[in-house]
Amino acid sequence: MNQPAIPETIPLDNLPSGRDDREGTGYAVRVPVLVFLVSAVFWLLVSSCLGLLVSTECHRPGSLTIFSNLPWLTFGRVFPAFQNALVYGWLSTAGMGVAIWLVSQLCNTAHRTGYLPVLSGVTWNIGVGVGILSVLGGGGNGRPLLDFPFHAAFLLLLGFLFFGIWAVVVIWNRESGSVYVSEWYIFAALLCFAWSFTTANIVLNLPLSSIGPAPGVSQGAIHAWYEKSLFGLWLAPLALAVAYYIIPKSLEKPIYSYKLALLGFWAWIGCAAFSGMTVFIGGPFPVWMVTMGIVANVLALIPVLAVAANFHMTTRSAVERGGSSLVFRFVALGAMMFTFYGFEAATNSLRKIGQFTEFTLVILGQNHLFLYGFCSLILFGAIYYLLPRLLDRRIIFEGIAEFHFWLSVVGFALLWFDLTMGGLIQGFGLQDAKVSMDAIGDLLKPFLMIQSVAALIIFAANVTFAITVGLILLLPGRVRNRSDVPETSMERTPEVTVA
Amino acid sequence: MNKFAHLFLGVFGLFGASWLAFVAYPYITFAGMQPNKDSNTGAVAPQGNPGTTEQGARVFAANGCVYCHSQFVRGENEGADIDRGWGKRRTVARDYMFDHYVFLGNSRLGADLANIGVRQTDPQWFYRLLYDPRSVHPESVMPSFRYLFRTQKISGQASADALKLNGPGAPRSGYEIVPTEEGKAIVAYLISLKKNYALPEAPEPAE
Repeated sequence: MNQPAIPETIPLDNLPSGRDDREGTGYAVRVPVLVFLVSAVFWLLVSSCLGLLVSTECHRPGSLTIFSNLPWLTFGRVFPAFQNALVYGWLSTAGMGVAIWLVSQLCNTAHRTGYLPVLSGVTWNIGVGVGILSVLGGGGNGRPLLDFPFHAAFLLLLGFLFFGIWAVVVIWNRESGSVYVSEWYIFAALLCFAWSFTTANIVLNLPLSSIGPAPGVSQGAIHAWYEKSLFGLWLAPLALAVAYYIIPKSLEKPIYSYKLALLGFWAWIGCAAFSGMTVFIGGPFPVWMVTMGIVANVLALIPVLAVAANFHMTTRSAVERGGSSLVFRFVALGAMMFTFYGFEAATNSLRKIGQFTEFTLVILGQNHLFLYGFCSLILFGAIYYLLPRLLDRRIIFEGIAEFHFWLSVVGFALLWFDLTMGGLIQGFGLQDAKVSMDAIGDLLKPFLMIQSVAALIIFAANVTFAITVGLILLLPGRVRNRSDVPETSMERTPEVTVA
Repeated sequence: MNKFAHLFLGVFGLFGASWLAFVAYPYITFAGMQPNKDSNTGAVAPQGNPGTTEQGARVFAANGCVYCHSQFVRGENEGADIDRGWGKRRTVARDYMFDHYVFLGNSRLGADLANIGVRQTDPQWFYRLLYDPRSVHPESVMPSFRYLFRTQKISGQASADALKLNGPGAPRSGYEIVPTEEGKAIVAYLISLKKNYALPEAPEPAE
């Protein structure tokens, strides 16, 4: 690789430069980043406990009377608690933590107002805790991923704003000249989350009769728009920002094409924003709203393929350099799942197919493909990448982390396959009026059983992950030698591209 | 892309357009909706629910019913909803114009509830289902909601809405199982779910 000599402080448009160890500006924000990452791991454990519980209730609804007498353990409360813990507790918290580091690193700006991100982490976590307890206690709104009552959502928004304001200030005062791809995604995520979360909570959940809730079925449209924004324009950009940093960095190779990255970015923002309404195929809305969603889901294949091609071309012929590392494997597999998700979402949005998969476990599987397969895997990789850098330590727990990787992959693959197969059977059953709902329930039982097996494996994977993180945090490890960056066991040495 | 201004304007424009299409437009359109007045009979539909079902809707929300039950009927070419008897016609925006809380839902592990108040009118049926779903549907995966009921000593006459149970589940003699306020509210809400009036934009399909 004959890269021209570049000074350390000026990043190329398509290669994140700068040292990302102790010398880098990311190291300066290690305290808030650790607050976010450690609490994210905690919420991951909470969500996997709730997920295991909810799955058990699903296949043994009658046999455990304890669930029927304790309102806070009922399926209809534990399921939203699980989903919210996963999305707001684990993915969003971890995503924000990594974003704080990335922003600081890429803007090459030492942190200013460093207390803001810490305050943000604390407020956000209190919001998540209050929200989950409220949902379990019977204060939920019955709107998927907007279940948190208004006061909890308000805490989340406050926590987010501290983070967002800090990020904008750092970006504003950046010392690096150009703006790297990861920063585009983080910036878009900031804007879209602030906008959609505020809108949705005010018009749907504000307990003031003069303002909300929104009239009639506009509630459904606003909700579908919010859910898609949350997935496509908050979680996805955060995960892609990580992938666009770690893939080139661990291969020591610039991103293949700046133009493809641009295309992938803008087309994705445009498509994701309009693709929400496909959850209501045949619903009580003007036809154009759903049609627009279908078109957007299909057009989203353009950015999905652009991103995939860019990663593929970057990775090609360079895999031997970083391809064997665990961090790279987590991130690359996660990025592949994004492509896979794009294809599944486009397929399920087509009217002829959607009428079978709508309302079924297929959609649950598709959502888990996104949340686990794509976002979680990338964030696992990011945390393994960051922790040693933040703590200035080597990771020596290769075996256990390797075990975590395989447990995650097996557990998730089983879950997706099971939900998709079960969902297709459910879908064909629902479309045939001669098959009674009771008969469909009976057909689904083995799938709900396997779902619990998968939930158990994922639970084990997440516990393994938490143990690894705990070990890295608590055991002193070997301090990195700055002048001679040692080869860690989790990744190949990221040689800084400096002449 | 070296200027954050470009980035900001681009994202703002794209996301703002989706906000206009899926938040502002439906908000304004559906707020200005009028009920249909039949030119022959003068009947007005929908009538709207007389306020009493809101507490029940909140119980429905708080206990996550929406995670398994949808509340909309698709047209005859879009699914078997009408064949299943979940409604005689598809549901349209006007059906929900008076509803304070709309739970369309996108999961059907259980039946659609858009017209459950047409199919079942007896509160006892709902109480039995909520208390012990498998006594109504043996293969159901629905959780039982015993916490929406309480056992109390019969004083004088037995309560009218006491559960009629026999066998091992029955209460001791002299006691009865009655729905709590929340239990009554959610059943009142479910019975109120009816979309069995005619609307010109959603004609009933021919048999």
